[in-house]
Amino acid sequence: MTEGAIYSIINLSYSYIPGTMALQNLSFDVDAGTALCLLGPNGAGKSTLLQVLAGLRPEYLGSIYFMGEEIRDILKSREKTYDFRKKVQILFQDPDIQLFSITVEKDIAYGLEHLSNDRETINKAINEVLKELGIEELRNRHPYTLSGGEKRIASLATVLALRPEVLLLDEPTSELDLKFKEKVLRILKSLKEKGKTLIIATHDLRILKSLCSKVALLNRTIKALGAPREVLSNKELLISNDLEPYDLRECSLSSKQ
Amino acid sequence: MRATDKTVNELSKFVMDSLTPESNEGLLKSLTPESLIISSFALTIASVVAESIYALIFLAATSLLIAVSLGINLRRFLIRAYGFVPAFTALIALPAAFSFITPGRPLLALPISSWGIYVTYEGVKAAATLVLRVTASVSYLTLLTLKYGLSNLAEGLRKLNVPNEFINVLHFMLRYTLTLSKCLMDMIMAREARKLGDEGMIDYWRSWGEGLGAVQLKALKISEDIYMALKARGYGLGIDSGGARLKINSSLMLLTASVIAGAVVTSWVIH
Ligand SMILES: Nc1ncnc2c1ncn2[C@@H]1O[C@H](COP(=O)(O)OP(=O)(O)OP(=O)(O)O)[C@@H](O)[C@H]1O
Ligand SMILES: [Mg+2]
Repeated sequence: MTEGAIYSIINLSYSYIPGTMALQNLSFDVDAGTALCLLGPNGAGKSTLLQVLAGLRPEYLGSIYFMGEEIRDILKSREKTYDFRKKVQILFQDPDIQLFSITVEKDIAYGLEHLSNDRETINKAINEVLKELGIEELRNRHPYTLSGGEKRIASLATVLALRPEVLLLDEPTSELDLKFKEKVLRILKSLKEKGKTLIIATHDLRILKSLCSKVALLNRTIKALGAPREVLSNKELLISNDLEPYDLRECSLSSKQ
Repeated sequence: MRATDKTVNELSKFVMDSLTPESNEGLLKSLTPESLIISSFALTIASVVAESIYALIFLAATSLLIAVSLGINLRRFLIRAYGFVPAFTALIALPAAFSFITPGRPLLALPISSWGIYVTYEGVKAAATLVLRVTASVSYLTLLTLKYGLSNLAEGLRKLNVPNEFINVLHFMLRYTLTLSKCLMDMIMAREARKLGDEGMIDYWRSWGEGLGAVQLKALKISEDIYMALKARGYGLGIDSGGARLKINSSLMLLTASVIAGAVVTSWVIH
């Protein structure tokens, strides 16, 4: 465990079905304020890792320390769990799971109502996040009736509204058009500048190139962990893990914005 | 679509619709789920214990009034509360109207009256009482599900100090029912889209059997995942800075008390 690490992961393994490992012996630290991207083929365990880090799958093997305290110990105490949930929020890959209320507004309010009882503060936070994402018109819509991209951006709103310190984001930009992609990227960048910790599972080259400070190539185990340039330029490594090699020059224009 | 598909589809739609609340606000704005839980619980109890048929009519009719003031779509409410369940109860209560179950004064002669079977006044009254009782109780519970989402209701119950284990099980069961309905509808649509030509009866039932098993597993998985998403945003912690404070809406309590008083008075006066 190193000082300043927000997460210290030691020998982490996770298995859904006895005999098969979704995650196997991961050990690494995540420093506060880092934007770590998880890259990996389908079924590599990215979503699993994010859910484990969110304290939602406590039956893992090994240890995970969050700000010096083992997650399983945190979950034993209500007060500590409450603080943990306040600090750490997760965006699920499937918006149909993230959105469970009658309207987008109520879905955004759901988490906020656990943090505050002041209706005004809650309404203000809802207005702010809807405006920030430019989705005011989705406010009273039923989540079941939204398009794929609209669902994604509404899901993101439920997470951003809580202003967490650590954001665990599972494919935050998939299904989004260019306008929304750039908007989300801009928001994530400003969060990073504010010192928030981001852990993002993504294949989005824009995020990988212009946001991430570190990339972890995950394929059940950590295959590589380092600066984006270092990992992404290793073509053989990418190909051997069923990933498309990226052309790092491409997209450099948009990353200047 | 085959008849079975259609029936299952309609039933699923009905269940989903009954468990999905509306978002519009009525006269009783700023109403908290816990207030409505108390109120509908009190009125349901009143409907269960009321003896007089007039009091039951009064209670059933008042639920309409409350539904309107809560901003619930009247048509939807009528179908949910006054449709399927009362019709089903009526079917079950029907034999009670006949002299062989409830003997009494003849009300209606039948072609088989010569055998001593006829509709009795007491019998009709007994059947009507049962149907009205069920209608009134169901309608107050319908108010709850049409007004609030499952997670809001769960939080409301929690504030009323109902044990967590009980709430979690109830919440999970309702969530599962809702998800199962949606998955069933999705399956019927997906099968319809992939079906080439007409399948034989045996194939049809075999694929239904397999499909049903798969759908149940899928619904279970989705419900579990949603439960995880709820937890991620603080579900069940109940130590928030006061979001968990009990807020009882006094105008609703007053309304509830007057409705119960009204029912009592009705049963006296018309007696
Ligand atoms: N509920 C579950 N039960 C059993 N196995 C599961 C379950 N969820 C995931 N798995 C398995 O665990 C492994 C890792 O899945 P995970 O969803 O974490 O992958 P991923 O990296 O997020 O993939 P993708 O890029 O497709 O989203 C996969 O082999 C998957 O089949
Ligand atoms: Mg995934």
